[in-house]
Order: sequence, then C-alpha cells, then structure tokens
Amino acid sequence: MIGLIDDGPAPPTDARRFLSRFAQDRVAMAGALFVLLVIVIAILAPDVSRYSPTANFPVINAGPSGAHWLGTDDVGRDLWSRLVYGARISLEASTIVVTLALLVSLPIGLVAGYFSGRTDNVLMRLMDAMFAFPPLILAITVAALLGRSLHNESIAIAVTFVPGFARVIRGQVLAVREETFIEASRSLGAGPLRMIGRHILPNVASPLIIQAAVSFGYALLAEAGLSFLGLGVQPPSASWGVMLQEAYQFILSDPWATIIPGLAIALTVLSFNLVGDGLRDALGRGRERGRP
Amino acid sequence: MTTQPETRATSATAATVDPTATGRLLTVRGLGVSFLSGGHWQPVVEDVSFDVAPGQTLGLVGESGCGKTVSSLAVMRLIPAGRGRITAGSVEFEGQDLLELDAESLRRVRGDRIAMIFQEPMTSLNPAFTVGAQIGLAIRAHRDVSKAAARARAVEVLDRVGIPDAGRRVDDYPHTFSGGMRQRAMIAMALACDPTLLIADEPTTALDVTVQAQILELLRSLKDETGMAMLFVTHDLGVVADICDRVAVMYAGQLVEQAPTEALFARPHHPYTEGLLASMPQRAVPGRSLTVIPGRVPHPGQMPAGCRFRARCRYSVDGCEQAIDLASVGSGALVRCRRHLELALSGIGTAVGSAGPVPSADDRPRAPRPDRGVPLLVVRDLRKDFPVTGGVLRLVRGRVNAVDGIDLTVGVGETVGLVGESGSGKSTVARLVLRLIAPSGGTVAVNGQDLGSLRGRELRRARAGMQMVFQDPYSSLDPHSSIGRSVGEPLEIHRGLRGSERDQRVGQLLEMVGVGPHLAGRLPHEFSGGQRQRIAVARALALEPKLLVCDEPVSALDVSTQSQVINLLADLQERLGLAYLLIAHDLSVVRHLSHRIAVMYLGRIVESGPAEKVYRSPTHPYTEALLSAIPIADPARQRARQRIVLRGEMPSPLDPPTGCRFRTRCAYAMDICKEVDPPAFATASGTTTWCHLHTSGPALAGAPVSSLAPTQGSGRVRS
Repeated sequence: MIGLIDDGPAPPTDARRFLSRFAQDRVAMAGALFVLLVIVIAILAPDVSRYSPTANFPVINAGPSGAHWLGTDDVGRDLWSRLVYGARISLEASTIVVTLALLVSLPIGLVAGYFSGRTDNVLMRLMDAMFAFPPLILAITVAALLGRSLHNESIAIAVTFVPGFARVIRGQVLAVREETFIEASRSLGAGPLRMIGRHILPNVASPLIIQAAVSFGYALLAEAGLSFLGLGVQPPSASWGVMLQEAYQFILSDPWATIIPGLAIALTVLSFNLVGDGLRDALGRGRERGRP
Repeated sequence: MTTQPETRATSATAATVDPTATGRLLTVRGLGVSFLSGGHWQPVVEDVSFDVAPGQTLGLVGESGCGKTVSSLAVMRLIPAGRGRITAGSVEFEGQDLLELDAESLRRVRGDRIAMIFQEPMTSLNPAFTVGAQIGLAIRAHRDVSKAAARARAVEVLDRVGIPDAGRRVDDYPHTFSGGMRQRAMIAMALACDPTLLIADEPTTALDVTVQAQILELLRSLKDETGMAMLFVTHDLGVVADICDRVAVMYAGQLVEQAPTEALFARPHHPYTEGLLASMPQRAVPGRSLTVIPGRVPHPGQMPAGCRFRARCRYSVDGCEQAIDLASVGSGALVRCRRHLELALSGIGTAVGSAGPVPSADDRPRAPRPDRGVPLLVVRDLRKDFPVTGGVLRLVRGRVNAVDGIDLTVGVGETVGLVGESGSGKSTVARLVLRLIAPSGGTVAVNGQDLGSLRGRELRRARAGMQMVFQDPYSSLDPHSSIGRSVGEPLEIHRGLRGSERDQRVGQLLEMVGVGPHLAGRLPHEFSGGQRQRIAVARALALEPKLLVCDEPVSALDVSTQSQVINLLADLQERLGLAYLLIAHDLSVVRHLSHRIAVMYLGRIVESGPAEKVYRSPTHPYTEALLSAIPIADPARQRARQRIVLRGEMPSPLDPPTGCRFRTRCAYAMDICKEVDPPAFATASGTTTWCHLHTSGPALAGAPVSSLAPTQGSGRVRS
C-alpha cells in the first residue's frame, strides 16, 4: 500500500552545494583570496614587516628600495610596515562597524517585520528619521560627540549603517512571513520567540550574509573617510585612511605615499564587493528549492 | 481524424511516428534537449518524435519532470539559453525546420504561425500595458497594419473569446481582469494572427473547474471554427479525454506511448499509461484505496538503463534493463514496452469503479466506526468579514463577506468535505476553525469547548488537538529545517520532548507516513511533492490530534502521488480514528475520502449531505454545475454527456447578489430568487439544500435538479 520511501545516498548538503557553487565563481574567488590575504597579513603584521610602524628613519619621502619595500613617508616611517599595521586597524574598525550594526538592526528588523502594524510603524519611522541625515554628517556628529578614537569612530559609522540594515532585514522578514510554513508553525502553537529564532532568522540569513559582506567594504571606506577628516585613530598609529590623509599634502611632489594606501583601500573594498556578489549568486537567487 | 488500416513497420530508430497523419503540420523527429545541472549537461528529453496534423489536437501527458513542457518549448525554440539547449532532432513546421531558422525568420513564425498560451494567466500579461495594447503589439509584430486596425482586430478577437463588452475592456489593464478573463485575453492574443498551431501548456490548471470547462469549451469551438491544430500539454487525463484527438504519454524524458485518445483510454499498451489511468481518484471505488504508481520519476542524470519505468512497473521482468524502442501496435499507436504483446492492460473499459456522477452498482459505504457521529467539531453561524480600506486615510470603505453564516459539524472519525470554487470562502473556514484568524461572529467548538473564549497559552493548547495540512507542500515545510526537526517541533512545543526521546517519536511518525526514519536529517528540498506532503501529515499527527483540517492537501501534486497521499489519509483515519475537515475543489477527491459533503458558494453553504447522495443526485443547481464541469476521463462519455457550463464567474463578495447568491449564474433562476434568501430544505435522501426550486416554483421537493426539464435560455450545452 504505502511504500516506504527509502532513498539512495544522501545528496550534498546545503553547505557543500554552496561551497562548490562559490568555488566555480572565479571572480568571487579572486576577491575572497585577496580578502584572505589582507586578513593574514594583518594578523601576521609583526612577522611580515621589518620595522615598527612608528619608527622614524633618516630617509624621508623615499621611493621603494631594498631597505624600505614601499619607501618611506614624510617623517621617515616605513610605508610597508605602516600599511601592514594599518590593515589591522582598518579591518578591526570595519569588523566592529558591521557587528555593531547587525546587533542593533537585527532585533529591530525582525521585530518590525514579524509583528508589523504599530510596532513596525514606530520602529521604521525611527529608522526613516535616521535615514534623513546625510550619513557622513551623522557620523561626524556622533564621532564628535563621543570623542576621537578608533572605537568611537566605528560606533559612529555603525549608527549610519543601522537603518539600511534594519530595512533589508524587515523586508526579508515580511517576505518569509507570508510563507506557509510560518502559518504551519503558528497552527502548531509556536510562540513568537520560537517563530523568529527558529524559522524566520535562518530564512533571512542568506541575504543578511550578503549584505554584511558588502557592508564590510563600505565600512572600510567610511572609516578611511572619517580618518581622513581626522576623526579616527590618533597619530602616531595609523589606519589606511590616516595614511592617506598624511600623504595627501605631498600628493604632487610624492604621489607614491598616497597611491599605496589608496590602492589598498580600493582593492580591499572591491574584493569585499566581489565576495558579496559571489555570495549572492551562490546563496541567493536561483537557490534550488526542489520545485519541479 | 482518419484511421488507416495499414500500419508501417517501425524501424529501430523510431523515426516513423503516427503513420496515419497524412498531411503533417508539425513533425518533430528525434528531439533531444539537455539542461545544465550542477555543471553538467543532463539530457531531460531524448528522442522524442511526434506529429500534429492540421486541425488535430495532440495531448502531451505525464507526471511533472517527464519533459512535457520542455518538449513543447523546444518546438518554439524557447529553451532558456545558457541553461538548456536542443541537442538533437528536427522540428519541421509547414515545410521548414524551425531548428535551422535564423532569428528573424523564427520571430516571424512565433506568434504568427505558432502561438502559445501558458499555465499562469496571472503573470503572462504585462501589467504595465492595457490588454488591447498587448494584443495590438502582437498583431503589429507580424502584420503591417495601422494602430487603429490592430486595435479593431484586438476588439474582434476579445469579443470572439467571450470577453463581455470587448470594445470597452480592450483599454483596461490586466489587473482588472479575473484569472479566467486573463486566460481568455491570452487566447485572444494567441488568435490575433490566425495561427495554424496553438501550443497550450497546462492552460487550465490554475483555473477553477467551472472556468476550466468554459475555457475548454472555448478552445474546442475555436478549433472547429478556425481549423487550427493544438499541442496540448497537461497532466489531467480528464482534460485529455475532453479535448485531444491523439495522446502522447511521456515518462522520464521519453515518449512511452502514443495513440488515438479513445484507443489509449480503452486499452493502454504501456504499464505507465495504465497506472496513470488507474490512479485517478474519479475512477476509484469509494471505501477502497486508490491504485498507486510507487516511487517517483528518476532525475535527469540518474536515468536507469533500458526501460526507464521498470523500477516502478509491476510487470517488469528480466530483460527490461535492455534498451527498448518504440514499436507500432497498429492503428497508429506506438508503445515503448518489451512486453506489450503479452500484457493485457486495463483501460477505462475494465474500470475499477465508476466515473462521474452516474449511478453505479457499487454503493458500498466506508466501514463506520462505532463512535462515529459523536460531534467533535461544531461550527455555528460562523462569519468573517474583511474590511476593505482605501484612500489616504485608510477608511473602511466596505466589507468583504468571506464567510457568511456557516453551520458545520464533524463527528469523531468522520470526514466532511468542503467544496467550492476559489473565492467561495472555504480556506477562510479552515483558518477560522483553527483560529488562525479571528471570526467576526459565530462559534467554533471542539469537544464541547468554545475556542472563542480561549486566549494565548490556552488557545495554543487547544490547537494541539486539531492540526492543519496545507495545500502547498513546497512551502509548508521550513526549507532550512531538517524534516526531523520540522516533525519534532510540535513535540518540543507542547510535550517538551528533547533529544533521543523526541527523535524516537519522530522516527515513529515518519514511519507511519511511509518515510524512512533514517531520512530525518534531510532537508525538505530533497523530497518530491508527495513525500513532502506525507512529511507534513506526519508533523500534523505528532500531537495525536483528533481533527485534521486539510486545505487542498493533494491539489499541488501529480495524479500518481495524489493517490498515495489520499490512500495515506484514508489509512490513517482507519487506524487512528481521525476526523477530517477536507477542503478541496476537486470533487472526485472529496467524494472518495468524505462521508459527508458541504458545497460552498460565495461564503454560504448551498448543499450538504452524505457524500454519495450529493455526488450522485445533486439537489442544488450549483452542485450540479460543479459536478458537470469536471471532465470525465472517458473520451466517449465525456464527449457525449450533457454539460452545464456556468455563465460568467463568481460575483465579488464585496457586493454579493441579493436573495440567493447563486442566482446570477443559475440556469433556473426565478423571480423569488432575487428577493428572498432560500430557506433550508431537507430532502428525503438525507441532504439539505438551500434552493427555492424545492420550495416554490417547479417544486422539486427534494428531487435531483436533473429531473427538471431544461428551461429556455439555460446554460445547458450538448456537444
């Protein structure tokens, strides 16, 4: 009568399918490798550089040489060392930004999307109000209020990221909420906490991961921007943005010192975007749901 | 259609198909299509050959995943580039090979000589343009005519497909059209350039039976009038019996049988065809389980060698694993089965039961349970209004009467079927019963406990005693939760079961619905639709409910898997004493499973009573029309029967007709129907009907509607 379903070997898991799809995307893989390279260099900073990033040498504004791979800046500091240590600070800043933004926006987006109605209205109008400020001005204001430091700068940038994140999350929740399995769970007697944590969160995770990956790049860029304005990490330690700002005044006589941090920022941001696009293709659209 | 006595010997290449087709319009030979899957090109259609003669209708049938749609798309070269490609064969149409044409010549054929209509009428029209503009565009793409002339032609074809007031509607946007109207508009667009071939891909699947009957009627008359040929892709054998001259059955990317419709239904030669015919619920004997085709269609890339059906075939023997070609079996029929000469397969002639609303000798009721009839679910005067808001201030502008005073009782161990067209409010009733939405009035009591008085935790506990099985098994399981986790969820919520205790119970539940317990860790997308529906049933059973509310539990499934799920539901009822509130539009499914039936129209019940009584001798004109609209899977009877094609579509519940709500479409409407709500009338056979015919006018007084002589101007059609 009812034949027992007993299928053959297990098909690949979601994770494996995702990895194989991502690995096939060469451009995204190139981006991922570059990001990985930057991370490794940042972690191994003392091992991959010969000098302290704050040590002054008698040669100033020098081009690349055997002693100083990327040359030196206007006060005789080794550019390679500063770049490597700067990667630490820049990455730390963007990690804090994205984590903080997610921590704040996730509950807002989930709650607004799931409960909708009045709750949604109040939360989203709040987000709209934040949207209304130009992000840079908002970040400068927050950074100025909190005082100059790397962490305060990161908080300031995170604040500008929150409304965007919250909107994306809410939108996804609204879409998932209409699925039948949500109604099915409700008819089983599941409470709101279980619904959000167990059914909604995993189903909005994919777009969230993509958003986070892309935002890493933008966070790095924003950090560079604020540092350029002098609101970030304080001298003598330097993020890439600070390096850019210091070298900027000599851009005509000694463009080298500007080009290097600029290139580092551009390539890293590009790589994060490529990774984000790759994730979108591997996780997002066309994700096989088994529908015939 | 001509049938010539002479049959040509079939060569090993299977190149000769349908020797009877003298004048060929479309000749497909050795068609092969591959799709890119996981980085590899997998053949999904192999060596498919068929002919369509001018004015002929060829049906392409099979379960989903068999390559029917892909084959029909390949004819028009509409296989999405990059994902799929045509690897072999030729498609000869009016003397030219479409596969050889350059882009411009192909464009000239598409939409002009060959037109296409699709399954989903809601999305196949562009919402940004008026219907007339889209039809005009189609005309001007092929004919050098002025805009005014194109518009005039649009009005003409819209009028031809039965759009009322076509001259005005031509300037309306698609969203103002209902589903059935949009499909008519699509057909109008297809007809605009007088094609010689119409490819229809499941054109009625998304529509209600009554609207389906209208569309089929329309296609039939258009065909007679214009002499166009049709390639009709469908999974519904009733529709095939209704409209097709020849049938080609596809399985796992191959043609397995091809024959004239009547011959195929009377005596199939391939076991797969036999299985498809036998598993139709309308051919089942009430109280007996349905025939099933075990297993599922193999995926591309995992095709077994030799006969692809052999793993699911009850006749398979040693030797079936060797390659097998199509062979001629006379009178233009072809079959791909090694044993076709020795097997005597049963068609509809040797029926397992009776189809259609015609009395049959077998009237065995289902075994009643001792405690059956003790009321479990009692619904009284249930109402639900949805406010309609509009304008800047979101003021309530009106109310949609989705459910308007429903009384319903479901006894212990009993199945009550709730039927009606979409928009009748039956799904709203399901949600009201489970209190997934709050009613505007009336009471729902389960086991004597009024759900209306319960809140929060208590309500959640009460819900544990009744569970819901949803229509779409593809979206009713969380795609990110393993099936074991989904099935175990109610156990965690209500019983607090964790770890191995839970897993053990999940294993039992999965086994109960016929899914191997070791598969508990897999994700839903690894299962087919029918399997997912079983898993959904297992989840619904986790808390040992007494009542299952099944909202269209099988309508999203293929015929063969449909019967598996129906059997499972019947089997579980017998073993566990479950009561079902079964909501469906398919009356044959409802009849097979239900003890009692209630027919809903526009928020009200119009007739209710014992299933067989309602099915055999409907006492309400709407029930009669609904039954008449279901195509019977028997070409001879389907074509000979007297059909009642309902006029128009269900009125908006926002502004329901006064008096009897059905009167606007009723063939027997009288003056009194306009003013007075029909009272309930209990017939001698145990049914209750809400119709003035029984109390005033011709006074049927409980007799079936069919005993009335058709009045002039009624919707009855004999075709």
